[in-house]
Amino acid sequence: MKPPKWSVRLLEWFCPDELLEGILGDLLEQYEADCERYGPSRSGRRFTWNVLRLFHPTILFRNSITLNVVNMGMLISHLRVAGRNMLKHRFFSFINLLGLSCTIAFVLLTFLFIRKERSFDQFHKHKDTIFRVYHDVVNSETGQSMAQSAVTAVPLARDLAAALPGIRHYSRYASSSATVRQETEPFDETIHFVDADFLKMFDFPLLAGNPATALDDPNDILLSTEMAEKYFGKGAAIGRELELIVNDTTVTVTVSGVIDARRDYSSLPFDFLMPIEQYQLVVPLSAFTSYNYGLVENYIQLDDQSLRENVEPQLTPVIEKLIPADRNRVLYGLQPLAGIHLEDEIVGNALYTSPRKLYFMVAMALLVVLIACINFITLSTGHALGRLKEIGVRRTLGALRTQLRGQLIAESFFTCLLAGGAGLAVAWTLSPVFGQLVDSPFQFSLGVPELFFLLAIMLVMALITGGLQSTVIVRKQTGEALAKKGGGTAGRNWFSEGLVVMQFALSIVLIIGAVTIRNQMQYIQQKDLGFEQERLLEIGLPSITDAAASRQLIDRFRYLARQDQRVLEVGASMNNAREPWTELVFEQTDGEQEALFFNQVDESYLQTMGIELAAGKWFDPEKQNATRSILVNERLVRHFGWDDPFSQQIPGKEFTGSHQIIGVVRDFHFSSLHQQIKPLILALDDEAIASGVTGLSTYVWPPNLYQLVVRIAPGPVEPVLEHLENSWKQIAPDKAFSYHFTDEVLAAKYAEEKRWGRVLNWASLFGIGIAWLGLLSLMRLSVQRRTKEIGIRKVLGSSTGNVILLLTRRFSLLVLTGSLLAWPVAWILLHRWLESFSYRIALNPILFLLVGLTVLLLTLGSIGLQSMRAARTNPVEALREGI
Amino acid sequence: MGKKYLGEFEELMLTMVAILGEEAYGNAIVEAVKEQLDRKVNLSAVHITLYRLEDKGLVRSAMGGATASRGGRRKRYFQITNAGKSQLRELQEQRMKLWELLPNLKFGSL
Repeated sequence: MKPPKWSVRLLEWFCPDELLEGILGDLLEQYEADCERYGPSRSGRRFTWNVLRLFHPTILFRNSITLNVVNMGMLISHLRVAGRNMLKHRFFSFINLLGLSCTIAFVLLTFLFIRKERSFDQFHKHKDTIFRVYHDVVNSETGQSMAQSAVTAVPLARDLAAALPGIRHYSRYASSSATVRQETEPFDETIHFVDADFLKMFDFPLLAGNPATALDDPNDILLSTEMAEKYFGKGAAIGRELELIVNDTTVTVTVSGVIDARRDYSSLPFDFLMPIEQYQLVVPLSAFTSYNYGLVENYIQLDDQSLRENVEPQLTPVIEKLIPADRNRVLYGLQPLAGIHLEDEIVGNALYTSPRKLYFMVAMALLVVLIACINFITLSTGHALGRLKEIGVRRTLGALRTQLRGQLIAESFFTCLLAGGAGLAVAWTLSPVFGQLVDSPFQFSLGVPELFFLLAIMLVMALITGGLQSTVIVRKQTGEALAKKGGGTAGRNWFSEGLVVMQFALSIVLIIGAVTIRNQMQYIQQKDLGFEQERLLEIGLPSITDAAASRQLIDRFRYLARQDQRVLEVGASMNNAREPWTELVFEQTDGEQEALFFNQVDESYLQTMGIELAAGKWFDPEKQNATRSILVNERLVRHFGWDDPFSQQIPGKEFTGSHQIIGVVRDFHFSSLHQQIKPLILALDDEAIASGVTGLSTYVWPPNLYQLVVRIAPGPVEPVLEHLENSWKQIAPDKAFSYHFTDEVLAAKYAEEKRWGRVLNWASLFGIGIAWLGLLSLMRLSVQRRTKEIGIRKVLGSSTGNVILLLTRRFSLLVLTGSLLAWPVAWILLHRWLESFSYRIALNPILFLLVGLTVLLLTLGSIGLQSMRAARTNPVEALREGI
Repeated sequence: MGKKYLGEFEELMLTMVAILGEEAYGNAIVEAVKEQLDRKVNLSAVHITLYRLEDKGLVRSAMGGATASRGGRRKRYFQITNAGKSQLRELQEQRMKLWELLPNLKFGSL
């Protein structure tokens, strides 16, 4: 006779192992007895009923509950003692809490920031099966990768989907600037062109409109929520009309839906979505079938994630069947959507955050935590030594070591809990500032993971500090503790002093880093760029394909603008300061590949920009027929090693006809100072060289004048801008007047460095602040402990000066050791950072010395004050009440 | 530490563990209650209560030796602790104190 099997199994499942044997045995015994009395069925029922009754919290959670019930009383007592201790030593508790809560706030903000960055693109249901196709241009002879890019040809995704099984959907993602007008005022906007499947692949919530048909009609347009509000206010946007001016064409489009672009969480930014067919407004029809232009991003969605292994190797053969490889092979690969934002940097249009940025933040947070923890440890161990008597009494009354340890950990946790609460408040208050600092505004929302994280930090900190305290204290013999020798210094010194040294070393590294980054940034901004960057404006021109019409427009604007005395000069060019300039690749006569930068300019460009001529002459405004004349920069002359550039030709193999170098300009910086100045050609048009070009990388094409540059006189800017806008309205009423100040544009290029400089500034300020507070309280502790000693010394004839020296010598040594450790580390780190700039400052040893000295003086100043007070107390008082 | 109060069933179990001495395990307690008080108690309820008493520190438990019956499973024996004994004694004293406060007359007239 056996009881019901399933109820035995049930019991085995939920009953803790330690209890199972005794309980099951008893139940079986009763079952056997019952069987003899009542028969199997009734006793089986009773057995099952008993098992069900055992499904009870006392049984289920027995182990965990036991612990709490037993310790609850002690825990309350510990907390009470901790509270009393904190009130008794208000100064130390305050410093401890201040440091800890700021640290917790900083760490919490870092955590939130990283979580936000990691959540990019994660809201798409199919994120694991969506891939971006990228290409890698490889020299087929050397195998060297020449250009990796996610900006690929228009037909790519379509051809792949047609040739390969397993591709469920595909969508192109192309963009173009356009002028958008609703009734009156025109705005410059960016329009994105996608396939209809875009809405099926990506999960951008469609707030209005039908996802199945929203992009069916060529004149459909989807608006982001922000744009819907901008153009139509609070009213319904759907069904309303907008006027779109792309190149010279004006089209009327109908709003077919409003879509939430999830800007804060998406690497694919867009304001307007239109069907990809309309991309022909922007590019010639041939681009839809040609592989010669890299224009769009191609996304594909596979049936299953595992298909990637089959699909990826087939990409290149499929395309090579269509377009046979020549000198360069183009290899294709897939990049998962989930990895676009953070993982592999492949140049594309998607928003990308360098993982280095995250590592940097994490490193900062760790450093600050380290400094604050050290503070907490040195303070509380030093402080706890003052409590040896209490510990001794507890020991005599029978407290076990583990219980004392538990007490100290509980007390640390209590402190951490308070600091956690305060830190939460600090983080909440600072979150907008922090968002600005790292340039990624985020909402301060606390979810379960954040709270768990917070709890985890507090627990870890409590365990570390509490544990360390107890190893320092509990080890002391009871007798020794009671005999009050605990105030002594032996055995503890090396530990807390080592920590203080480390703290100072870290702070000094931070400070040197912050100062050097600031110096480098200043250097870059003040460096002579080779042209005048102040009071220079750039104005985007409407794209007019006809060169003659374009020149006419510029001339009219120049005439109108220069009516005002304060407009000094107006020029025009193809490339602007915001984007990298056009780089042309061509084959030299000797077969080598050569890459040169190119800019098309007008006759007034040189004078407007303030670029100097090194030799020869500039384009003559009178002579209209100068198309064969070009100017080059000094770098190009050096590049080819010419002695007399005016008799030379740029050795392009397939350049039609000859060109004439008429002048050489002084080198000027046309890209960021991260890069060296490269060889550059300036020409009035591309006729002389365009025919021989085999490849190019550019933001603007075809060569034309896209950009006005205007130099204005010193003085108030507003009235001049007004005058320029009025002139603009007369020549191009359909195009928004959008301008940039060149110096601001250039400054923005170093925004990243400046931002990190700012973060580092704050972190170093914070670090040194905390380290200093720690030192201050450590000093105070040691002064307190040595009151009696000082009294005796004074009685025996020490002067105040002697005592001050005695007290400060030790701490000065600590700071000095810290500096010695910090210098080489800072040197190596900063040297590596500076190497990323072509134009950089030299690392200055004097700066290193100065920072060390400043920290030393700061320390001496603060501890000197304390030791002075200690030294000047009347020895009688010190001896009478000394501890 | 605050005072611990015992429920009626808990008190009964604590008493039975004390009475049975070395022989206190689940089934023995059920049997003893039936024998002494003619009261049927549920074996699982007994177990749950015993563990709760153990958590309160009033009884302690240990596994006994191997058995031939009950599938060879060992028995878990319970034993009253000093805290348990003093709690029982205190309960008894309290009860006696209250008992003496009762007006005897009423009972006498019964």
